[in-house]
Amino acid sequence: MVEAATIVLAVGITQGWRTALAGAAWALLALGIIIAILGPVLARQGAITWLELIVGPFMILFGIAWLRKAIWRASGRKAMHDEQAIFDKEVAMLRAAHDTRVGFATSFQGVFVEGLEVAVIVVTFAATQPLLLGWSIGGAVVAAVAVGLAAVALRAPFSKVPENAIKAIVGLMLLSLGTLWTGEGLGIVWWFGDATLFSLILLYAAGATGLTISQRRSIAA
Amino acid sequence: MKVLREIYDFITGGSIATPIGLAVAVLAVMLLGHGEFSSYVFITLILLTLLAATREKVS
Repeated sequence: MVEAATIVLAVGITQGWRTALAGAAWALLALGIIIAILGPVLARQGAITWLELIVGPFMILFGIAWLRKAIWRASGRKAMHDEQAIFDKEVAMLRAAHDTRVGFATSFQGVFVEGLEVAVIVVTFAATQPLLLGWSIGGAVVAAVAVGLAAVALRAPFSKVPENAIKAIVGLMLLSLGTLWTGEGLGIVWWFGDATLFSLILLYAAGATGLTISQRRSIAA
Repeated sequence: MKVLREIYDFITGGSIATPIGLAVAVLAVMLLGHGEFSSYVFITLILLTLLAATREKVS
């Protein structure tokens, strides 16, 4: 969401807020349609075992993808996400384009691609925990509004946001939930029921910390 | 082909180890059954998958 806000901000400053907000609004509409169609359909399913077997592995894949990127960045193997650099690059590209259609497309693509991951998370929650659909959508909307308002208020890219730490936490949550649900889907009876989730979060957090330290050491050596 | 690659990268973050490790973990549970031992094996294999994924080339 932070990166999407940076892109919309760059379009707004170079090509006008109308173009930037129109692109963002259409992207949000497209994401809303995806959630509105898939969320209730999946939430209505009675037998969740097979859904856990489909959704769980996807959450593990997403979780590991987010977590390994956070580990790489924390250990120094990959450069930290530089919102200012992204902003400067987008501004230079948009100034060279001189075309509002490019601005609209950039704003739309930025919000849609970044938001698609959020939409997938919202839908997966709906699939396995139907009662959480409203909360899941509400959480995503609150986060989007908060980031949007902050972007409008600051009129500058979010260079100070601890994005890597946030991504690491989200990665941990996705990986832990994915493990729990995939295991349940496969028939595993977890030791403490749903409370096993906390053990998994602690275990994976310890593993991720160990991997970060080991990679940092191997770079320093 | 390019579209498929984009979808693959979107889901896995470009990792080869992650889908393979996940498949091995799922297969292990299917072979070992649903007991407590199976859950330990599953979690260990997921942790090893994370280890393998972080050892891959930075993308």
